[in-house]
Amino acid sequence: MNLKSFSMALAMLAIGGAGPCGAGSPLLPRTVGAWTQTGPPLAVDAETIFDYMDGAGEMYLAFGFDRLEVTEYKTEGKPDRLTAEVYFMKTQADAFGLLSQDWGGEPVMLAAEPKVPADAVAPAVRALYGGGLLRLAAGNLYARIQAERETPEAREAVLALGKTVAAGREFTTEPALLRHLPPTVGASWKLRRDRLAYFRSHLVLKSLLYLGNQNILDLGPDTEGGVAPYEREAGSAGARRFQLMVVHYPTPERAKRAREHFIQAYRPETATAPPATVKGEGGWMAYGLRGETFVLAAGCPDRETAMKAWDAVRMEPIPKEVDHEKK
Amino acid sequence: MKKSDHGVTRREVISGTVGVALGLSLLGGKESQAAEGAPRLSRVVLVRDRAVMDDALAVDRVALKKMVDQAMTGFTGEKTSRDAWKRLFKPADTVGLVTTDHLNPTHEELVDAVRTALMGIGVPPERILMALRDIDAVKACTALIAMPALKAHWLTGIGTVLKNYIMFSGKPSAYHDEDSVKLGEIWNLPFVKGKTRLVLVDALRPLCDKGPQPDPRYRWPYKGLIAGSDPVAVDTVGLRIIVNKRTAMRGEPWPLQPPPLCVEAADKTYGLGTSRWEAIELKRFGWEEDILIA
Repeated sequence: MNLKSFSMALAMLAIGGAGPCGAGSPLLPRTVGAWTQTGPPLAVDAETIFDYMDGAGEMYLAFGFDRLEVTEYKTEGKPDRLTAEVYFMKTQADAFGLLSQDWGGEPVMLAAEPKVPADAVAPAVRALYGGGLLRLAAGNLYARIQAERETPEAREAVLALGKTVAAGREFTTEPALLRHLPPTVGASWKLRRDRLAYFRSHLVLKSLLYLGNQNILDLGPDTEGGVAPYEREAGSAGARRFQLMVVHYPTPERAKRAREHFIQAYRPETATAPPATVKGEGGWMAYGLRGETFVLAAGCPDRETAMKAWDAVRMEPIPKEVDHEKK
Repeated sequence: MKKSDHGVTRREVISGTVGVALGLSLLGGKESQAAEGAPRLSRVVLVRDRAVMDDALAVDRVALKKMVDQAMTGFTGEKTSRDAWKRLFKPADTVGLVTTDHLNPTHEELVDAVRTALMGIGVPPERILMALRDIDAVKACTALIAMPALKAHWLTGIGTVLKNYIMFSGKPSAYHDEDSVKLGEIWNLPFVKGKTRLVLVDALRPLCDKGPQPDPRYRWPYKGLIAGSDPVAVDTVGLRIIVNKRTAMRGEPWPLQPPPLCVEAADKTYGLGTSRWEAIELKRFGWEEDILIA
């Protein structure tokens, strides 16, 4: 966000009633490298997030957004600014979900190397840097810290701010739901960990795996999903990639209703016992319920692969979601 | 075919039957040319200049003015930029400039260049209004210039021309829920309809993914302007640039998700212009390297 945008956002938020945090907000330092805070951080809540970032606010509301603090830094004699956005999310899963929308960038270590469970599915990184932008998850926090112009000094300052955000916070654990996704399917299909994503909302799902422009899977704040592509070697006959998605519902009844809704919207002629397999546009699909989890393999080159993907889903019990202790 | 109660699904997108799913007549729309024989082409101008932006992303105002001049003469066919502006706007007009004002904003230098051009043909400065967030100003305007920045959008596929007027709806969030397929209806609101005389897209440093929140990894110095009067055609050209950039970045097709349904709908439901490439007359000027359009 450049100077003009930040000033405009500040003005709009002042009109809307939100505004600077109380003096002495301790999260970020007053100075970092050659940069100094321009003023107290801006506080943004679910009501004012659209004033701050019209069109982008829905992404954060689609996860468990609680509040946002925005801090700007300036440096003398130069127009370059740093902007630190720290999103306080309701759960670690939500912070993870935001980071998981894009695993691209240079992995950076902001804290001591964590002990990552051996069966972790997602990349074992929680901070990614590229082009002057640092994205990180720490505990239940998600942060975007960006330099208006990337220089070696700005990079250092951005990373220093990231370390401050991450200091003393838990390594954001990946949601247990993702363990449903197998590392391989059959002998030749491998999970693309760097394209795996966690979601709750149909708005986010649409940007990952487009099923339709309406909420045909009845997704909401109390549902959680994971989606990832599986790929095989180049040169194989047929499609090289399919997508595997799992969505967990809080009750069996919700799961059944979602399945019915999907069938009505999508494949009304294929309402069969799970898994339903059907060849359609874009390849073979297998879908159905496994307990309270809706499973969908889409874009498979043949029925055999679709069935293998279905069979490979690991149906370990998912612990009921709790609010992780906020640290 | 009966309109689906479930809107558009992946099935319709892949099979190309989106219009049917939405209850759109493929032969309908005021500007549809499908049933009318030889299509009337929508002219769109693309101007690029390698020198308009330096490595520090500073904009050269002299080079930018030349680009604006080229866009105007290329679009109107007039010999001079002044004549081109005079053809589209009159001194008695009240002109609203509808820019992108944050996240990936329209460059101030471009806004200044347009303002200067309008004053140069006699439009007084007090009748050149920044109209993005002021519906009363839009109502007072006799003419609009849509000046969005070129960007992909995580909710709508593309968030450039057609999305530019979303604030005029008074309820922008309501449009996000169905991939903003109905954005075109905003352009037909009584106080908006027919006022847009120029679409001038800031493609100096577009954003090809994760918009509107800018991620520098997905911005690149394309150094272009896209101009026309057909908002759908201009968005179609911008869309092609974005999609081709994405393919170039990954080395394989990287389609926009969600698909930019609003563009086809703006053509076939709302009759705002053409989304068919063969009905667009694209005139190109300037720097050709990595132009991303064949």
